[in-house]
Amino acid sequence: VISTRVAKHLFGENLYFGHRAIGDLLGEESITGLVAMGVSGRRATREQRRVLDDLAVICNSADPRIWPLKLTRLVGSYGGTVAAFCAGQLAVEGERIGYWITGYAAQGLAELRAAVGDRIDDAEAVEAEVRAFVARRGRVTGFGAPLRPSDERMDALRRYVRGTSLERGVHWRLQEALAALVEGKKGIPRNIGLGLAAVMLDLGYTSTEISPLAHFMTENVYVANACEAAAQRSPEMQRVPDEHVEYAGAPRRESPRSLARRHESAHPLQFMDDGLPCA
Amino acid sequence: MSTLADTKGPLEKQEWPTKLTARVVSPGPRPTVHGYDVEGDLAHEYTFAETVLLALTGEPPSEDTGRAFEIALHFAAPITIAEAPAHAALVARTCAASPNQLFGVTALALAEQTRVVVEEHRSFLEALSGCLEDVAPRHRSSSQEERASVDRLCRAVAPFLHVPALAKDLSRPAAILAVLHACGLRTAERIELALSFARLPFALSEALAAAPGTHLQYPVNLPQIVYEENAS
Repeated sequence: VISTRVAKHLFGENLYFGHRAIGDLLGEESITGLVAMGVSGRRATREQRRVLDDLAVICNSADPRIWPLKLTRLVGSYGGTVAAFCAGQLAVEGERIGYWITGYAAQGLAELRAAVGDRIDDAEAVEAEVRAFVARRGRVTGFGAPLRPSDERMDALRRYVRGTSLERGVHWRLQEALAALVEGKKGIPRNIGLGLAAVMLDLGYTSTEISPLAHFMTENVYVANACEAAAQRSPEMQRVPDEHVEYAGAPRRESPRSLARRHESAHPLQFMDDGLPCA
Repeated sequence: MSTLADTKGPLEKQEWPTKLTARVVSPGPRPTVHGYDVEGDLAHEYTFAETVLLALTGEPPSEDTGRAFEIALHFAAPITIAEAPAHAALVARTCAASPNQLFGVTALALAEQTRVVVEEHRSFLEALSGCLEDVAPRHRSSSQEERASVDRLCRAVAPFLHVPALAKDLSRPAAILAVLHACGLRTAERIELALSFARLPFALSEALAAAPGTHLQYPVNLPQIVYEENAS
């Protein structure tokens, strides 16, 4: 028997994590709140929902040329919206690209938080732990902004957090300390993954919850590209013209069996009009 | 008057390659796979499975290696409705999924299943590439039925390919992986793809054998899922 906390279908009502969808949630919850509950099983407060909604807007980077979104467009070019939506997301469940990396950044901040303990107000102790953390980890997830000097989403998040209670969050302060070292010493800018991780940890989500939360609350970028690509059914997307493809594989050659058969039959290799060998 | 749409962003400022690079299949009217003419050579001289092995390894197999590969694929192929990929395919069928949707669901579930199988054998596969001495107990046969199946695999492959690892009382999955490895699939990712490829037609066929759109005839309580109220 498999237990579930997710839902139960009743006559006249649907339960969702212990709440009546129509009786309790209707008029109160938002799509972001439903997604956050889907990830964590816990109902977000109104304030948490507001912050998550704002984070989703900050993260709204949907240029179809960005790799996972290009993938969405390629699959969607035959007209299947859901196929495109699903396929685009398959390649991002990892530590390399997309918002799934946020959970890895959160793991790092949680590790740093544990090392710092109750010394968060001791700047020297925090700096020492940050140095030890960077030395231990080598590569720290949440740094690097390809093609630009800084991540505009992270810049926006810092402005958004400034002067709010989020700025006093323990994990937010730790990411600032971490960035001071990595950006200062290595010149690598932090990216939105680190900022999202810090805010979400301070909102009470766990490292395990943060990857799917960050991914699913930004699904609109796949939705938009899947819908447009499926509607366009672009022939250029379905097939790139041959002149835009270069071949860098093995040169044309004859297989060992074909060679052996020719030797056995003592038939010379014959060529077609285009210079290619006949079978 | 310039607009934001005209403004250059990071993707415009970067220099990008202007062509896609093909490395396996040549474009054009006379396709080759790793240089071998598909229509004038491979289709005449090689079985389809051998051409798949060529695609994955870069070299055409000998007849013996090709035969061993086909035997390993045969042993890997059967997937019953009890396993999640074929089960998922059936559920998609009961939802009246179109063939493309059925294929997508089944391929994805199979890819997940084989990913886990290969992940569980990662150290075993690494040992195959080096010097396999001891085999972990979890990669050994655990029943007489399993041992008999592995023995059938050994006897089928023996005339064509010597696979030393098969002498180590391997589990059925480990034995299949060992044969695939001996056929030239040296990396875990290539073995993973070969396994998924082998199973796909059978999982799909199981679904196609059922009537579409029959969700009310599907045993929805297998396995049973019970709701536990724990609101937070």
